[in-house]
Amino acid sequence: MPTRQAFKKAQRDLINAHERQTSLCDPFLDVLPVGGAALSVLAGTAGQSTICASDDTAARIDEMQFDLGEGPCWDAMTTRLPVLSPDLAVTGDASWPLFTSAVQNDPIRDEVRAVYAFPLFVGSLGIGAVDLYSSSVAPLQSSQVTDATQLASLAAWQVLRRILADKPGDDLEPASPHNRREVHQATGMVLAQLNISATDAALLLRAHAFSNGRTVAEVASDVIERRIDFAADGMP
Amino acid sequence: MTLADTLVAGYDVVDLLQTLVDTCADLLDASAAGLMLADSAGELAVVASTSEKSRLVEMMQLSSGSGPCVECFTTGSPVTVSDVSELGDRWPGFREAALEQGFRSVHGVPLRLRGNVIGTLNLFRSTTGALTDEDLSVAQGLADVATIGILQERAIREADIAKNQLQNALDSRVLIEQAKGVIAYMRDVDMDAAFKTLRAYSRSNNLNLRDVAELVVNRSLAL
Repeated sequence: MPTRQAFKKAQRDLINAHERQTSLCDPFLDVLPVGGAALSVLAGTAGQSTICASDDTAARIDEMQFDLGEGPCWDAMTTRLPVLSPDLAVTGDASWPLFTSAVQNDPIRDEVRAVYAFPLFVGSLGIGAVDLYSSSVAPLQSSQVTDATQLASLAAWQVLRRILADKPGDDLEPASPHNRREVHQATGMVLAQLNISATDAALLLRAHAFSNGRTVAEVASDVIERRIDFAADGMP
Repeated sequence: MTLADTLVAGYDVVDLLQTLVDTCADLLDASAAGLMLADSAGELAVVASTSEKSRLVEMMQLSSGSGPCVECFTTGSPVTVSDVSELGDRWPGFREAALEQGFRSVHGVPLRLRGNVIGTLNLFRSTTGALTDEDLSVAQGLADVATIGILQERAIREADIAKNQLQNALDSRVLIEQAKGVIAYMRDVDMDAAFKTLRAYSRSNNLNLRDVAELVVNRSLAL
């Protein structure tokens, strides 16, 4: 049973995370009854990316929401309120039919019965969200929602610092294993192939992935490896 | 334009301050009113006034560094001069200027923010007379409205700056990756080679990597 001490430690861990380069996800797991956590950045005009994920399932939940453009993390970001879905199977459909369906049709469905998203923002600046999942449908207690909200506001600061410290172009390696680097590269290739805008190219990738039941990351990979060429193949 | 109008989003702080001094002069039966604000270096400047005459008197105080309005700023307390002609040898320059412009009494209230004084709201009357407690209260209330308005404008401006910085930082990485994709396709090379092309161009033309990437992505530049 997590104590106030555990919560204080989680707060300290988050406050020191940037300097010490420690996980932004672990503090949430130390304090809340959830199986995994992922922090994503949703701000910016062309990108969403996962800053950290405690496991593949959490990363997958983020990826589904990026690919589909709907889900609890998006709602948390726009409403600036916690989005609590203690039983996705029952209530998910109404809010996020595509996301809920994607989860239910995926092997992660037994691990992901509940999803909770908390917004990440600093002052009035919206940055993204924390996604938490649980295999149990027991809802979070209000004290736990409060704790998560407080941890999220600390995490938001850390994410902001990380974003502002990041100097793109300094190295050729991606900053995080979950970033959408390839998706952006593929977007560039498609916009050149068809002579369209980056926005349209990104939408095209997403639509192609959706209609073929694949992730955008997978399609991006194919584009980069030249297995798909939108100019040569027409609409593949 | 009413005061209420000026306190909503999209307002112009200059309009607010002008409306404020106009309202002040009106409500408090003053011949003129003016507002002084300190900049980040602590230098006072007249930012709004209802008349050229009062502006002159305020500016004169600023250039000499003395007078009731300046004292109000340095002490952070209201300063009232009920009869300018009775000032004796205190603030002689101010006394002369005020009388010349037809002002017989002058009063100033501070604009305060968390213990700091950021400016003063000044009243000028053509008759002698003290500032009643009620008048003082109204004047201080208007000064507080001015302070809120100024703060809001600063907060909005700073939030915009922060938002732009964040947006910039996020967009930069995305643009660079997209540009790599464009170059990789157009030149039939891999992403590493594409990045080197991008970087070489920005270095030899002394341009920002992000700016070059943006040009490549919007097809203004073909590398």
